[in-house]
Amino acid sequence: MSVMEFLSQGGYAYFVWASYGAALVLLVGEMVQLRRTHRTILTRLGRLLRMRPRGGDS
Amino acid sequence: MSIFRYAAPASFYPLAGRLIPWFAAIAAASILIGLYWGFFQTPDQLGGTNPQKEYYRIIFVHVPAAWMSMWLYLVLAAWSAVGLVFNTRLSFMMARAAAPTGAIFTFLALWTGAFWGRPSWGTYWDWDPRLTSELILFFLYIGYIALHSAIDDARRADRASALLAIVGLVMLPVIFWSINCPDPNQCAALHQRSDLSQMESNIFRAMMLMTFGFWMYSFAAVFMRVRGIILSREAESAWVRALVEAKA
Repeated sequence: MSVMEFLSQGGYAYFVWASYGAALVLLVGEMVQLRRTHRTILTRLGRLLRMRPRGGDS
Repeated sequence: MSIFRYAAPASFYPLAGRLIPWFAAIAAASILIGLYWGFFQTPDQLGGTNPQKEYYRIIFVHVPAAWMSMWLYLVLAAWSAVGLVFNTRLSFMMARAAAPTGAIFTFLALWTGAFWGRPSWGTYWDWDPRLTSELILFFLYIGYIALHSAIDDARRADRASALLAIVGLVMLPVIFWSINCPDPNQCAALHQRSDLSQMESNIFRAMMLMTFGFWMYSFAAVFMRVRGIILSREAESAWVRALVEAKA
């Protein structure tokens, strides 16, 4: 099977790749977004911590 | 020392952190093998007398996504119930963390269903019972997330949205049994009763590998999200301060 044959999916390329494309974008996108959010939370908490007196409770 | 020790956000946070790479790696491996099997080890047609052509391969993302959309809702409602009964903080956080991933899989099930429906049924959308009930499930996820973020007080948000999640459970049996046509010879239904044991074994194998992959992916995604929720909500505690200080 050639690459072109594989990509054409018997003429149904549009439907097959629209489905797999959406899956790829959503799942990879979610992973990227989760990593970014986690880093943002850590940075924000670090900044909050530095604004406070060390060892204090307030 | 029991596993209940991990019900404390402070001890679950590092445990989840250690587990995420494993879940992600297992998910990636099973999805890749599942895709390979689905595209290269399966026949180009599905079914007997009036077979579906290559577009049936949408099955390997559509069915696992639809299953995960229902499974994650069950997980969401179960953690909500545990939270309401035992008043445990981590349960509500797990419920909140499962919702966006569940919503993504529900959207994916609807989207891939539309692109499968067009070549096989001649339409992207129809108000068929199963499509409609799956759409309502999507709105339930969105409603849960919206309600949770609309209430400022986190504890009240937890309890109110948990209640919504439990009431919404009624949709799961509706989706599951919402098959138009019990006998395919009697009417041209959209979704029909299907028997997994009747399926071509390679198609079945690829579909199950993809389902397992999506399930492991869900663990990774939900654990990543719950770690963020734990940090934000325990920001005042000594252990989060120590952790943030160590990272800085």
